[in-house]
Amino acid sequence: MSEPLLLVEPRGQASRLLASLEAERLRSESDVRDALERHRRRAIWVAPNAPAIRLLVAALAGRSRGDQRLLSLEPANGARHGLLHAIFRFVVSADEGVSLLPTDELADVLGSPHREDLFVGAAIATDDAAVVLYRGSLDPLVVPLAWFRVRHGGPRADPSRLSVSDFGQTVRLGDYQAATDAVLYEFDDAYRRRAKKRQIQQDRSFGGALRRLRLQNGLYRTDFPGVTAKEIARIERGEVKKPHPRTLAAVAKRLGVRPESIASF
Amino acid sequence: MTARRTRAGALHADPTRAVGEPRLEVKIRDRERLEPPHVTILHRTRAWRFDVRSEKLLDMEPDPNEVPGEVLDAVCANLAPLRAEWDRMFPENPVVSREPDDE
Repeated sequence: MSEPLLLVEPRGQASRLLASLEAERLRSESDVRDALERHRRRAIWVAPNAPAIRLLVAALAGRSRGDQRLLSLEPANGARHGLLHAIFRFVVSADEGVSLLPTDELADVLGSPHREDLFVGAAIATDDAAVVLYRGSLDPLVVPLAWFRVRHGGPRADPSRLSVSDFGQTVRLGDYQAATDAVLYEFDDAYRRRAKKRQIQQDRSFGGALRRLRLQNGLYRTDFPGVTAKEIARIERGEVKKPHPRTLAAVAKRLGVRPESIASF
Repeated sequence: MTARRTRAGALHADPTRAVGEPRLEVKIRDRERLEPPHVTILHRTRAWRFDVRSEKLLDMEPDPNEVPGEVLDAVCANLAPLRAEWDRMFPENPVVSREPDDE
């Protein structure tokens, strides 16, 4: 978890639903200003109600710095919306058209060590045929509506009923459900690289080792003289349990290792 | 484990009765990462993908040991309908197919 979490709770205005959230509590204008000074590079601020927003605006107007992000559980339309956007880099608020997770689920997502891989809210950009999904880090992610394609015999994605559920792990468009994991895998290069890396690290098979070693060496399956690409593919998929010693020798020679050491990669 | 579909949509199985934990769900959603065919066990902010081909958990994070054994038992006991459901939802990537070359 990279960014500190700052919960703005003016005295007497504590939010019961966020009671379990592990965050720094800010009760006064001086608390807010001190927090900005301490976390000048980046922080996530949570404002659960209108008094919290008023406190934030009073304390931070004209003092904005760094990459500050705000999650407001209170709608912030009109002039206040503009004001908050002038102070914070990203503002996610329960405005008209933005659907946030229920507050108890929000608290879990914000407290998760992988909050950037979960969604806290969603909005539909109808004119642009797109969905804006807000991650637990409050970064927005834009997904074309067309990506939520209908399966044969499955439900249509209904943008008018867009929401996030399952503690940020599912995007719902009416009866249609999409896995957050699938969305991120498709639209976030960094997430996909992390997922791939984990997948490769977990594969302890001989085929997995061969594949890692081949890719480390920047080789294609067609780069092994005397062994067909199809044969390499079959070994990597685990379809050939005991490759022929001649095949192994040829593969090892091309990779610059001893045949018996391939499995160690 | 009881299972229901949301109007021909995602499969949603409720293993609550198996483990007495109301926040546990087993799902196949309309849009999933397709490789390999799987169901997802969801518990609050955590999720484990269970490969319905190899009958193994796909991910080492979160810790697979934290999946309640009763839930895995319930998934395994319902493998045939879960596989059929996957094939119905994703006929382009059926459970019996071989994984494609990924190069």
